[in-house]
Amino acid sequence: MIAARTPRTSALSDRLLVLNSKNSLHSTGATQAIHIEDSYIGDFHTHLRLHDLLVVNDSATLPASLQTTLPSGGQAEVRLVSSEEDGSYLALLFGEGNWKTTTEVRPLPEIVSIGTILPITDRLTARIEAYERRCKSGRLIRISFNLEKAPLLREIYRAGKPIQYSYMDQEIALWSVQNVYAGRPWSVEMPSAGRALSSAVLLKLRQHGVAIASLTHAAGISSTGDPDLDAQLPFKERYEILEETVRAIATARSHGGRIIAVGTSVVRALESSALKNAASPIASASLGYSPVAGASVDGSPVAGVDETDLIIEPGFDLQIVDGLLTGMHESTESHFKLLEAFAPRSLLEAALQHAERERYLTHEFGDSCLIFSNST
Amino acid sequence: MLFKSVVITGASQGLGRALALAFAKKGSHIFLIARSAEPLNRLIEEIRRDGGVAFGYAGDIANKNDIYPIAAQAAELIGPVDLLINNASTLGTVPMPLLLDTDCEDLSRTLETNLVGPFRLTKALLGPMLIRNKGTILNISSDVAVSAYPNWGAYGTSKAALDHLTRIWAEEFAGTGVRFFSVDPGEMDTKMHLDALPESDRSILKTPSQVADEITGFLGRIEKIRSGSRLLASELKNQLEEQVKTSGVQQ
Repeated sequence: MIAARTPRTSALSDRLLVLNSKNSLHSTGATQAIHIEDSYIGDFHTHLRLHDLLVVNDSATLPASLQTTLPSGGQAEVRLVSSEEDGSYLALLFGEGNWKTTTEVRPLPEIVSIGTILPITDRLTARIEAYERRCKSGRLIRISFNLEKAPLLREIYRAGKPIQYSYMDQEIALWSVQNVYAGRPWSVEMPSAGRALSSAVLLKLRQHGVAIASLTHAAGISSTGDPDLDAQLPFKERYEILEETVRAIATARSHGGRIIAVGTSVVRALESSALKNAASPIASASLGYSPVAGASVDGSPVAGVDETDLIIEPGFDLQIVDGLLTGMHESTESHFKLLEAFAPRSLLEAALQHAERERYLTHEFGDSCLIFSNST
Repeated sequence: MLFKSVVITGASQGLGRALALAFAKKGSHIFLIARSAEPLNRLIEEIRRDGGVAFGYAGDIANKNDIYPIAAQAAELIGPVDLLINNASTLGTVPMPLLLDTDCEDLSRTLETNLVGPFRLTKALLGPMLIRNKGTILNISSDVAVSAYPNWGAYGTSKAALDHLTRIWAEEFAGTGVRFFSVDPGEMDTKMHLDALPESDRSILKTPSQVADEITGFLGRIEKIRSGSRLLASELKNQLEEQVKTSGVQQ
């Protein structure tokens, strides 16, 4: 497929591929009716109905790419991966090269010893605490900054740039990687499924009777440049689900509405929260309201901050999410596996061929795809 | 409390400073923006000493690069923003020239700070308000937005446009819980007033803290006021009663 190589601003004309699959039982055996429809993001509301609930990831994107100078005088990039509970950060180290260099071919910088202080700004330094064992190449490190909270955030914003994509025509600016509803800067890369949702689309959804709620999920790195590490993606990610979002989900379900996740990060957060909740009945009892009765209702998420390392794969039994709005991606990406929890491989492959034929655009700034799971 | 988290621009002096102190006193968590770091840091320390919660950003809303750092740091440090007060503004060249003597670049710069700056910051903070279906944008205006006075060309034009921007935002967000107002604070004893009218009698001017009290007072009853309204700080009480009487409808 063709990559979208500039951040497009008039998103209403961006395309939307809508996928439906229905299981049906005939005398000849189970068959699957698949349905692929070309649409536009400006018509998103026509695919949803009264009482459906759209859940977005309201995380803003941090300028997570920092430049530093190594003890030898060489330049390196420190790419933030995630903030850890103890205040340290996981980060990737890249040697020579710039944003036009594909991550996969960026060399490692020279190995520097643990305890080395990396200067970032005149006020900010990062200390190398450890090389992560799960990464043989030494690219994944644990660092601690000399600042915390507000001063740390200020310096990261002074010095950092958004993580770049080498297929783009120009360097991307910070404002090009923020969704319209972006709040706290927890993500190191844009939760890009939300890019299609302009205020015009959101207002139309509301007028159409579709409810909107949010959670915050620290969307992680999409590519590490290290095949071994890439195979471990996605890493553990932090999320927070608000009380009002848990309520909105219960309300939507009680009216027969579907839960539509915007982006795989939302699927990950909601499903792992529901799994944890099911595993600890005390948590659900302490909610103060009971999950709504109904045959289709399996689990409920709980409000609060947590981390997830859940990998959603083919055969995963979705408890919460009935549909997913996502970007167009190639079949080779791990993303595709998650989609198989929503739709059979045959449908996804047919959809990809269709998208290819119809010249849909792919990657972070590409077109969108709305997938309803089998069961809806 | 109505406004848990408040963002104020132009916060280091005049009305911005007075509003910062007033909201901090009411217990709001505040995020303040000003161009010069030193007076801003002093104000933040003062608020913290009195037990308030305040953070700041030394930057220029006329600079596009400052907008998303402001929005993200505010969201992280004080939570989802309930109220944005676009207060920062510039007179342009002082003494203020007639329009024919105003440099094109000077007009552009004034519009950048007084019109495009508030537009950008609103744009960055409005999306989360739309999702939460809750939030208020308050644009600080002036009587020169309505009356045409010689020498007030750049500033007056910027404020008239800001008023209209307020009304159009309000129309576009009609039916949501997000609301827009512009407020004319009236003549205040500030550095800006002194720059504009050095010979005026300061004793008859209101102090910024008086105006800040008028504004925080009216914000307490904001549900009763029509979104998109242009309000006079000194007549807020009357206007409020008038609107409730004539419309009877709470929007």
